Amino acid sequence: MSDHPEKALAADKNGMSQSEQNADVCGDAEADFPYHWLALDVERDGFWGKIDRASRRVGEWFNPILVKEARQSLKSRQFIITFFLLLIASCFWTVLGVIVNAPNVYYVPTGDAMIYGYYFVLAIPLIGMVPLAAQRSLAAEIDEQTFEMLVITKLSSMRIVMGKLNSAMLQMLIYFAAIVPCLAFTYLLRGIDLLTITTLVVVIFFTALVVTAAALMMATLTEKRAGQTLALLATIFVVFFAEIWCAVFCLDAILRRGVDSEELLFTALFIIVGLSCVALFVKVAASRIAPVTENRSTGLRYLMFLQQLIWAGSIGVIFLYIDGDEDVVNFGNLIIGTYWLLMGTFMLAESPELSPRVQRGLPSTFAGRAILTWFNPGPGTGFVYAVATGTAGITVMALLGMTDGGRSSSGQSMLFAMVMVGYLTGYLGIVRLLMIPLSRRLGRAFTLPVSILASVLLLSLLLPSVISVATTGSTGGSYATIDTFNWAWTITQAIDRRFSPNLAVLILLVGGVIALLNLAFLFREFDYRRIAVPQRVLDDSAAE
Amino acid sequence: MIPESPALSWDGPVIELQNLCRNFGETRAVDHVSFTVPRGSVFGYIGPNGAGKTTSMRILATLGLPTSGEALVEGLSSINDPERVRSRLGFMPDSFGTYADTNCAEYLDFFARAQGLVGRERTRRLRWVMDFTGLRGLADKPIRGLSKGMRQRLCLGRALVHDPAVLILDEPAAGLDPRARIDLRRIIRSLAAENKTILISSHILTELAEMCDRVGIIERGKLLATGTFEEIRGTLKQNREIVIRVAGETDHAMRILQSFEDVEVLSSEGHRIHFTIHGGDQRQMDLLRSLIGAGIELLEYASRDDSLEDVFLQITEGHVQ
Repeated sequence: MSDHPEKALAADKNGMSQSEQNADVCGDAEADFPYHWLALDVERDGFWGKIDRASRRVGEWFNPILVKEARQSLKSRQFIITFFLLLIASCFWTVLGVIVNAPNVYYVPTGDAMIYGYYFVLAIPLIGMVPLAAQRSLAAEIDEQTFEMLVITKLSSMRIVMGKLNSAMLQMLIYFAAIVPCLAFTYLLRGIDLLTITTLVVVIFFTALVVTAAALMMATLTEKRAGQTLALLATIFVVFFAEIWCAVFCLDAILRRGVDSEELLFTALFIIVGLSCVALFVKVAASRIAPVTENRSTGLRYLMFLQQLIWAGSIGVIFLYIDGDEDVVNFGNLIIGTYWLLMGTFMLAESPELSPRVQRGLPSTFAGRAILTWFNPGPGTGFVYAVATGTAGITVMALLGMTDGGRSSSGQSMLFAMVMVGYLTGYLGIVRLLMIPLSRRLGRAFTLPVSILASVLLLSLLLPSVISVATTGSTGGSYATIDTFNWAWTITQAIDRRFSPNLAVLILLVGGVIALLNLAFLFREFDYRRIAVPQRVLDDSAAE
Repeated sequence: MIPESPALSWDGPVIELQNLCRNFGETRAVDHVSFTVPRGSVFGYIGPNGAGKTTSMRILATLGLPTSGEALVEGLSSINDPERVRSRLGFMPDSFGTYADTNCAEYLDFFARAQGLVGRERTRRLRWVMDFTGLRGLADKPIRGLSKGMRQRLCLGRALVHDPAVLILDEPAAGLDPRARIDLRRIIRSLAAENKTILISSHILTELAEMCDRVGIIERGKLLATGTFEEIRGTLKQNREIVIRVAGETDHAMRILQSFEDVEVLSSEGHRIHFTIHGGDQRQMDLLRSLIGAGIELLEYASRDDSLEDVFLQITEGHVQ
């Protein structure tokens, strides 16, 4: 750093614009104060000057949000308290563990016993604190009116969200760095190998990453104070669930049973699926804060498609190389059906009106329109996209199940697939049909289709019992045709292989009819054609 | 020298609103507002609370969507090309948050980075902004410790850090002490001299009169008048307050004045008569001619035009949504 800021300023003066030179006139009273180091160039010569300049150049590559958050968050009370608690807990467990394991600690391997304590010391702040801090950080921007200042900068919505995520990852790395000596200590005590320690850390880190991305997405779902409180509660629930899942996976599967090829495969699949979830959550968060006129849907739809491929691939690998049981395929299809029902419901909240900006990017050729129209924003295209992609995924999985790992198949996976496709098309179709009139009166917040879906699902659970009581005076003990409305009971029956093929066909047909009804409301969204980019925008692009 | 921005090649109006409308439920907050602001001028946006100033400014600043109409900055749509508009724009909202845990230099440095400034360009802009806004001595001070005026300066510095062609300032003088207001006026005139185009809203009408090249008066979402202060006044039924001092008694002069329909005599004290006349220069000349023709010996004649407040009160009716 220069010791002579005025000299540094003078050196730059020739490069100043008129307005910049006028600043000296405006700021005469300020001339006695030295400039802040952030406003000065590195003028120092020699080795340290080069290091200084190099590190500044590297710093230019960082996301500005990361730089800001590093300055802001790392001196926050929450971080300081968490960090010191982590240090204290590590020290405490080290001393306690040695005392508890004494005198064995001197003679026999005890690293495997010690690592249980370090797991909690690392997992609680990483999975518990970091996601909540990240969510609060983004929610506070919205709450404290700093967010608007942020979005009118050159930062894209994706960079804003990634900056928050990077900042959370930086905190994770700092916490991890604090506990590395303890992990090294367990390794030196023997009883645990490097692969197990690494797998453990990787699982904790990726779980924290997925939960943090989910927390950031939650923060963008609503700007209202009450909604933010609900989002925080939902995040706490996710954090709680993730802590339990991670503890079960790490303590039971990895530490108790040891790391073998199966555990490594599961860890690898978890990382791949987890990363696709992170990508989806981040993209959703970025879309939520992007300008409304922007195409906020197409990228998400590509990601959903990719996620289905990853999920189907993961289930396929487990089915073919580990389990070979149709139940694995049915589980995969249950997730796919639920996934597309939920995602399709979210897509129903999209506006059927396309902004001129979106229309500039529409496919221009006939082939492009035929293939890519389903990726265009809109509730109609969203409905078709969810139903078609979900059906394709479920069918492929069912066909895989039919092979049954080379053994003879019971065909139950195909029946289960028919049930899932029928429910997906049926329920999503009903929600869309209800959305058309309701959205005119109540707007298009994503909470509307979600509320409709929840109501429809709840009603369909109760409807068979209500009809049965009204007609026969009792709820009835065994599964009947009317109970096909009860999706929970039907799915359980299908999983338990106690389901009639005729009922599966009935569910599929009803779903198909509802889907056909929906097609009648699709045409409006096909009217849009690509429009030309305004000449002024082209000129501006050329000037850049 | 900083190379000339490609934006400067645009020779149309720098700010343009075209039939802008914004509804909030049944309420029409902005109702077919249209105006243009040429490069290098300061446009004052005047209206009572709830008139639609902030709504239309936020649409222009890419932070809101209109129900219909268009908002353009250098010919680019704030609605369909917000990223292009944002790089040209500095926006200072009426209420804004700051990062309480950071200091002024860190805050400005962050926004400079966010605007894509790197290396020497960023440090130079930071020095300029700190000097221009008088924050150099407060660079290390945490934002939570700043006064209202200093926070306003910091926010202005943030809006200026990337050297935008257009500044949108929503009530920048609200809550400032007189000294800070004078500083702000000086800063704005200085920016206009640098060819910045400024759209400013304020309730301090006299200050707007001194700062602005043109003004627009908005009420209940409708733009009631737009133009220079003189142009707007010219379109109104003009009121001028006039004081004359006559030699001798004022009775004769009073009678002559009262014979004019558009003269309203307010008071007479000693040899002075205080009255108002509705009309322009021609009516005054007729009046003077009559007085002198009737043998009244005029010792003193002074007239005062309507102030901006007067014009504002005449145009608006004090409706607040």
